[in-house]
Amino acid sequence: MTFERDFAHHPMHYFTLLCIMLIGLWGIFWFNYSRAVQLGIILSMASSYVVWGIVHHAHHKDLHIKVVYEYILVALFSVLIFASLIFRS
Amino acid sequence: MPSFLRHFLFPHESNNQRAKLLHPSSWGLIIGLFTVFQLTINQLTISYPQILGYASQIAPETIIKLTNLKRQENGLLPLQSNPELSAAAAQKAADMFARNYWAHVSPVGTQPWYFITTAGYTYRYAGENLARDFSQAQAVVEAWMASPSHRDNLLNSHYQDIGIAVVDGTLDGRETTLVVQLLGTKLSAAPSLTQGAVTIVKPVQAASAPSTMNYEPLSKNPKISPFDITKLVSLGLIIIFIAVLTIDIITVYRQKIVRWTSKSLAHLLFLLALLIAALIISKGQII
Repeated sequence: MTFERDFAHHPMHYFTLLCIMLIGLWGIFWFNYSRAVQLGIILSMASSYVVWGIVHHAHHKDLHIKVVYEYILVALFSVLIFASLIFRS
Repeated sequence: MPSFLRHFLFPHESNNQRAKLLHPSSWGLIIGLFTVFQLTINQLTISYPQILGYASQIAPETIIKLTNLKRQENGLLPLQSNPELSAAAAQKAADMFARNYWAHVSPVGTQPWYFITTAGYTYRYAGENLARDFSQAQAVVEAWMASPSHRDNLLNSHYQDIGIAVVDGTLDGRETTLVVQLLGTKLSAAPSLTQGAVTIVKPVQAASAPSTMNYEPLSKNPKISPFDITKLVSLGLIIIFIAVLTIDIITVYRQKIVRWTSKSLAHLLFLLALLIAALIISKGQII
């Protein structure tokens, strides 16, 4: 499926993902005084992101373990970066 | 454009219509390299603290001045610097380094009030704020003001005195600058209209001979801060991935490429959120 068809067929999927990210960012900003809460938020965002990927591809009927693996890697990369910054701060 | 750059950064036949940097193997490699990078920083911080370490320029007087400024902005009386509270704060910092903990209550149960009373300050009200790894006094006070519980302490009308200790030492194997702020009102002072509960002091012995405490900065102005270098590398990596994902989305859209992969737009949204989150994180922690 091409990019525009994917986006046109599932605008709510991307809107949901955008909302998850915005709520997560608000939480990280709001709880700037608590590193533990911020870490919990990024872990929740990363988990939600992987779940979003699985649901999205399941709807497309193109879910494959390799695709899930890619989402997990991106999530892992993000958590590693954020956790390192928190640990060094 | 060199073919290896095209292979790594742009969708092409050579990389199965997806930039090599976005392949799972590349993500895995970057994750591995970043982990090694962090472990190397750990080692360098320990082995070469004069190059890689934390430097702070926090004067206790500045913390007191800024605290009083915040209180006056909120219509409260300024606090008076109290030598007994300052001694108690220094002793609390020494205990944290000696027992290697980052908390209000020590692993053996010593409460902050213990240090206050042993320093000779008999209190009616008392409170404690802690901070570590900040490089500027302004940032410490701003962080306390941003936290509801610390702000309540700073802007508590019951307090009349303040004592600050800024101490360098090693905590969890890391060079750290601790800021201990103790707030109080003497028992002999006129009681306020609102009665507050006086915390019972547990009779627990605090560490008397701190082994790792050092009142002089351990690192003489290290050249590079581990936080700054981590942030620089992190932001660099995120921006590179965002750029490559943007190129990928545009190319796939224009050339109407059909692929069976994860969605670049989803990755882009997530990494943009990560970029903003990484920009929000600043140096220092408070409890």
